[in-house]
Amino acid sequence: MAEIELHFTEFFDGETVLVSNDSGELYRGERLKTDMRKSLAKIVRIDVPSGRSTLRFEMPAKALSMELEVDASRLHHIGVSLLNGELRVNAISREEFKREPRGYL
Amino acid sequence: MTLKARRNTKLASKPSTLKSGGANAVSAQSEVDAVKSARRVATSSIVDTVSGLYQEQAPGRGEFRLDVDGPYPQMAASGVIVSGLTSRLHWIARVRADGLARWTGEIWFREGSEALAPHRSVEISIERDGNGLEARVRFFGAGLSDLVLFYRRNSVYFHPVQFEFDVVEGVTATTAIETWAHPNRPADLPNENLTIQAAFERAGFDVSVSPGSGAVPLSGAGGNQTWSDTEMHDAMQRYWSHFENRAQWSLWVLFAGQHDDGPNLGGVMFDDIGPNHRQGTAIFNNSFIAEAPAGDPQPDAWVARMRFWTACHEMGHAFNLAHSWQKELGASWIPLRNEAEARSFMNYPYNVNGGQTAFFSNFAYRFSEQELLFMRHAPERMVQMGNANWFDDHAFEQAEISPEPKFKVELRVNRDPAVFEFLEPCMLEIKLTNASDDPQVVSEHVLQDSDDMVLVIKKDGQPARQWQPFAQYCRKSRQVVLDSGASRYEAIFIGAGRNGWDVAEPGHYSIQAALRIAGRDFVSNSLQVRLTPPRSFEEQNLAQDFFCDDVGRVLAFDGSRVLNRANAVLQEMADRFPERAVARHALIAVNRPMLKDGKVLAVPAKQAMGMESAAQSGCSIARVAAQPSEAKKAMGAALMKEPAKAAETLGHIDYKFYTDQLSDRIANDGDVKGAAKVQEELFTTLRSRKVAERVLADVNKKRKSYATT
Repeated sequence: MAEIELHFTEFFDGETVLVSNDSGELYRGERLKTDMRKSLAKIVRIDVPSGRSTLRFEMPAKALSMELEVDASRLHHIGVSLLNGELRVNAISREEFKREPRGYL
Repeated sequence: MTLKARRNTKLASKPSTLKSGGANAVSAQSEVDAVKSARRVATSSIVDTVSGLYQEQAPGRGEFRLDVDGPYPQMAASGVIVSGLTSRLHWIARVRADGLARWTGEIWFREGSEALAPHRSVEISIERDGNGLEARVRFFGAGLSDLVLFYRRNSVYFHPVQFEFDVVEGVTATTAIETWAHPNRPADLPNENLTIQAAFERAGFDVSVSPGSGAVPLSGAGGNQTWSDTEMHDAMQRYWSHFENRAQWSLWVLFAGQHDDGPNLGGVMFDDIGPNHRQGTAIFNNSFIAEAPAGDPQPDAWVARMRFWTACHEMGHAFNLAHSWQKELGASWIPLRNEAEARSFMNYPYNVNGGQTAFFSNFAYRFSEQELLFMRHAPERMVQMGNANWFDDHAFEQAEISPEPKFKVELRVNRDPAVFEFLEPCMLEIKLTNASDDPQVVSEHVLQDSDDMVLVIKKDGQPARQWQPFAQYCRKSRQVVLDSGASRYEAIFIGAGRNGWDVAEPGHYSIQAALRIAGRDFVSNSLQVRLTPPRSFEEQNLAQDFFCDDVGRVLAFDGSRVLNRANAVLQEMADRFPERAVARHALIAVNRPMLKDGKVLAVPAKQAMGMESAAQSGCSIARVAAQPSEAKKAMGAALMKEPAKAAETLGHIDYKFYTDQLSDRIANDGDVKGAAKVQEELFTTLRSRKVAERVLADVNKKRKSYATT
């Protein structure tokens, strides 16, 4: 297993996001609310299979879902946001992070 | 330039969205675009400019800001027009040059008393004389007579602000950088040692850096040695030499290692705790901002630049600026446009197209046009650190207070501690004293005329309210002489007014008054009183009937012969709670009118007609006969049974007033001995409560007058 970071970032206002894979639910982020000072709601660490796997992100209340294939060995974090009513997930690799360090301010 | 954390610790001596401002719905984008052609990067002196802050000449108290030259001119003018103690108007205009040292433009933002300047346009003329710059500001248009105001410049900046930089031990602070240290930069970027102070000076602020900067022990971060928002707030209260629980143009900046959130958080405006927000910011050196991109040609310079940039970014949040891509969110003061590609301190460099390389290639260490417009010209409460609603924590900010006041104004209650029972009407005493060495002339009714008195009541945790008395008197007052050291007094029932019941809920209240005498404002102490909770469900239940407008009026006017429903409620209070303070007030209010005959306007019951006179409607003046026996008995119970308690709850002034009326009625009914006895009791009670000798002399005189009748 490998540990990865999920960054729940912008435009959350009390929603719930479920993260799962074929084995089941990996994380339930409830009542996520973006702190506008940092443009960040929450950072959590979850265990996922080493190597490549597919993660599913769902917002049942809004009938939104996204799938993302990730390679945990190369992943820096996954950014999850809710922009204009759309659920967006974005994997940032370690190489990408080294080229363009980023965070919250 | 970096500062090492010094070992000398010191003890402290105290959402990031733009706030709404009730502005006209004008597109800000057009305002912003109008400015871009006038943009200048400031490196040269601003001494020869005309922009800055101007003050209205005394006795005026207004302000004017002109923004047409100097660093990043916004081609804007703004001001605050002040009238009386509470009327003010904040206005903003976009202006264009219209001749030599003259600008004209249209007003597009107003907040406050619009009647003070309802004009459409403004014309500004600047003249220089031996004393500096004078601005003549003419408001015109909309078919109105012109309004012309004069101001003198007292600063080339728009607002003052003070920064204090503190550093956690073992951390370095980055408060300045060499702008050419990193090769990725605009080609025309000046080569300079740029300080945070200079960056904000170019934004229009008269920056001072507190000499109180020092080291903050890492122990404040707890065992994990990373900082939570609460820990930082505690450190701010302890180590910021200017910490106060009030709004001020002052800001604390902490350079620390890492936040509890880990290396992903590079900095934060952490201060959303307590009554005043946006006073504290922090930069975390051991975060992603310390990681230069792989292959960067000057990683040390990159890190220094990023720390410097982060400090200015977080400080921008303290000025109430949102992130560049979030301008349309929340309650903005005017309609704003997102600026996702802005080269501003408030953007994330890695969020723009092309990432941080593209960002810093044309970033000039500045804020955007609409951010500068906000910082310089928005109403102060929206920008100033720690600010809240008007008056909250400001007291009388518009008061023109003399450094050597001729008068002293005091608010007090005749009890210690200043605690009132639930339902007990809140009676205060206001005292005006001649604090000068010379006799002063004041209006006979100076403490009764609400035109020149402002009284503000603030319950903890709630916005302040201005007390509005039920009655306003139009009269010709005599002028009287108040000798040096002499005082005048008046009782005020502040519990209720035209605003409703201002003192009703249990809790802590701050009450403050200001009097305007001869063009000067004299502000009282801030009186703290507490209202206790109800003792029973029955009290709570009856409170719903008690705290209504009519009951407030009956209490304020010491009785009514026509507000029967309110009288019934008050009688019920007296019957149900005979031992409670409210009972005395109720008995007096219900029975005082019955001490003597009165008149009422009798209105016949019929269908409502159109506009017609009282006579045409069949109204008449009817006589209401006194009910002296009943009234004397009830008033006697209210005033004479446990008289010390009566004096405490009614206040000395009103206690004497009601007792005089009672004794006069008793005397009129032929019982002069009884009347004298009432005055004797009054004398004893007031003397035990240490009332002034001249008042006791009056009581004695009245008592003796009964003996001679």
